[in-house]
Amino acid sequence: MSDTARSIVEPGKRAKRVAGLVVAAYALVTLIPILWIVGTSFKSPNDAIAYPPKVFFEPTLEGYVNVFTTRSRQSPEYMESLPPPETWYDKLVRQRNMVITGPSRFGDRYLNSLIIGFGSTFLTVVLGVLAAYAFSRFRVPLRDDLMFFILSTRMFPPVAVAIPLFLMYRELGLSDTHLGMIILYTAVNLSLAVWLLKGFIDEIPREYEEAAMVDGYTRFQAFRKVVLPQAKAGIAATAIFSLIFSWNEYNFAVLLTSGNAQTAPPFIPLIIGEGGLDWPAVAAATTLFILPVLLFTVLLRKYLLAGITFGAVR
Amino acid sequence: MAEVRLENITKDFGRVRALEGLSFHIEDGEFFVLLGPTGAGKTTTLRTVAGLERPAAGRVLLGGEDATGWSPAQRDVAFVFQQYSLYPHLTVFENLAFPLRAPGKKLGAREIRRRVEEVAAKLRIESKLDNKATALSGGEMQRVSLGRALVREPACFLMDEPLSSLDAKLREGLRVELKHLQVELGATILYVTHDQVEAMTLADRVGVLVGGHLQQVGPPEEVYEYPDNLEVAQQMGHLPLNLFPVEEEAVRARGIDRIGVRAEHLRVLPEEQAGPDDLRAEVLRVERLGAEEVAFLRVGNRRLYAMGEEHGRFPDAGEVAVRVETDDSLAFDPSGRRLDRDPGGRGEAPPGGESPADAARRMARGLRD
Repeated sequence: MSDTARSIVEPGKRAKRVAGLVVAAYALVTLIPILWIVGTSFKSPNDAIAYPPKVFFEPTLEGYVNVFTTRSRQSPEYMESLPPPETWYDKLVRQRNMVITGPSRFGDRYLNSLIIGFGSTFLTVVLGVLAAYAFSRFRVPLRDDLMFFILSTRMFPPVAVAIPLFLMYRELGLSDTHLGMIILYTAVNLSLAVWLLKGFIDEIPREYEEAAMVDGYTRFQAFRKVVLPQAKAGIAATAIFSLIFSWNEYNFAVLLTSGNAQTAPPFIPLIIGEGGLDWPAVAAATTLFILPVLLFTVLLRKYLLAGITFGAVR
Repeated sequence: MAEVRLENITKDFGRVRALEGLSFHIEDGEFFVLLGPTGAGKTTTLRTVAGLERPAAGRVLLGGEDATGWSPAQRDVAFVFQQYSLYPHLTVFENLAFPLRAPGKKLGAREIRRRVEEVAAKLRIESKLDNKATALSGGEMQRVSLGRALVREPACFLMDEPLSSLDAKLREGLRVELKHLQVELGATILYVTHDQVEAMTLADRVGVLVGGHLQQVGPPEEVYEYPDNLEVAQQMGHLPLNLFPVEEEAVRARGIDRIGVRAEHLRVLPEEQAGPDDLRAEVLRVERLGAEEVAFLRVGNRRLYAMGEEHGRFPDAGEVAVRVETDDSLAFDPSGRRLDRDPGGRGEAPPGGESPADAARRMARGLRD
């Protein structure tokens, strides 16, 4: 056996190796679709639909150019008459007998997604942490009932409120606005945020705030200086969950947004309709769409890990 | 530093009355220890002084001013918690500087550094200033916790069993340091503990709190020797008080219901030396603690505790004679109040009757038969 002492509840060497293999296999299975999307985004349209599927191909940025531009097909004579292309993407497009007529709406939609996604995440965390603190620390009348009520907003399928929401938003003038979508996603995320954050704040002993208050701080200052830093892990976890939801949300976005505040998820499938099935462009849009959440999660990863050991320090 | 005065403090938690008409005062520069069992209301008293609890009735006066409605921040008191409560996300330096950075303080960074370093030197934690607060040993954490109170130079210090989660050696060491610091700074301290050794060694005056009532206040030696009642007598002893019920009618007629004798006043003799008034007891166990010995004895179905300072005084087993030292027994009436309260009149026979000591001896005779 091993010469270093270990507790009997700690896994042994072989168990660790098996666990490693299982995790690696799982990671491979979940990564394949993502790698395929990223791969497709660099293929030419023909390579993208080739059968059998091509694993090795000549990479091109055509998909990305197509995502960001609108183009029109021209006659060979007209193409001949044009001056030489000024940029690499002009050149790329002309190989297919097309010219760029302007930017696509993808940039706007992407920006909408960023504004609505991060806006609602920020609002969710701010409101959630305040509500969770109140539920954790104050004698709120009917606390348990209220906590259950908050959770119960998650119990019905979203489609059940689709029509009332649609009518409500139309009457209030919130349809197809950034504010409307931020409010909606915040309302949906808040239930999870309050429950999650309350758990984290419950773990922080009151004595820290009391110590701070005796040390000359007001309750709110104590909350800011002592509770918030210690709830970092919970806040990071909540922010990630909120962002993932509001970033990926499709149904309400289809229902409530169109010309102005449309987010990327309802827009991406529409790319298919333009000039045949442009799979590389769809894949390029999807790749770009995955990036922010990926980055956000990686950046906050260390707080997520800290969340696991939370409560172990006194 | 300032004096602290509590007037008729009453506090309820739901239906439970935690404090009942609590009144006492702590003089400027005094070390006042509140001693009591778990649940007596010690911590509640402390938190009321700090402003962390609002009393249902009564007043808290700090430096002569009515502070009952003040927020904790306004009171300028320092609190040392039992569990240290160091801010885990901050370093030792930041923990010590935390009260100095409070919004009302407005101290410069230089001044803060100077005061933190001064306190750190006093508590011998200078080398730990850059450590995370969670990376310290228990003794160091409690030093930092004390330091966080000391940097502030507050009106008074409130300490909630600050030494109870330390191991015995550290506890004794810090206890001595704490008393030394208090004398040096002339600090006003309200200190809460259930440990009578801490009460005896630290206090200028001790208050015994049982069941939300302040039972007795006085210098520790006086409270130890002349407890007002049974509860105080039991709180102030290191070993349980030996209690003898009085059955003799003549003694009961004088209002004496029970006689209490402290373990160190129970004389244990070899069986051969037993006098006519002595009890015969069986030795159940002897704990030899080095400097002292404690014997657990049995007389009939009653347990007795005897303590001796000389080595080998108690045999490990078998029968011994137990003699009640006459001068130091305590007589209680049926309600638990101690009779013969006058410190000067201790052991003297009240006019027209026998002394409690005589009664104890006679009662002991009765027990033996």
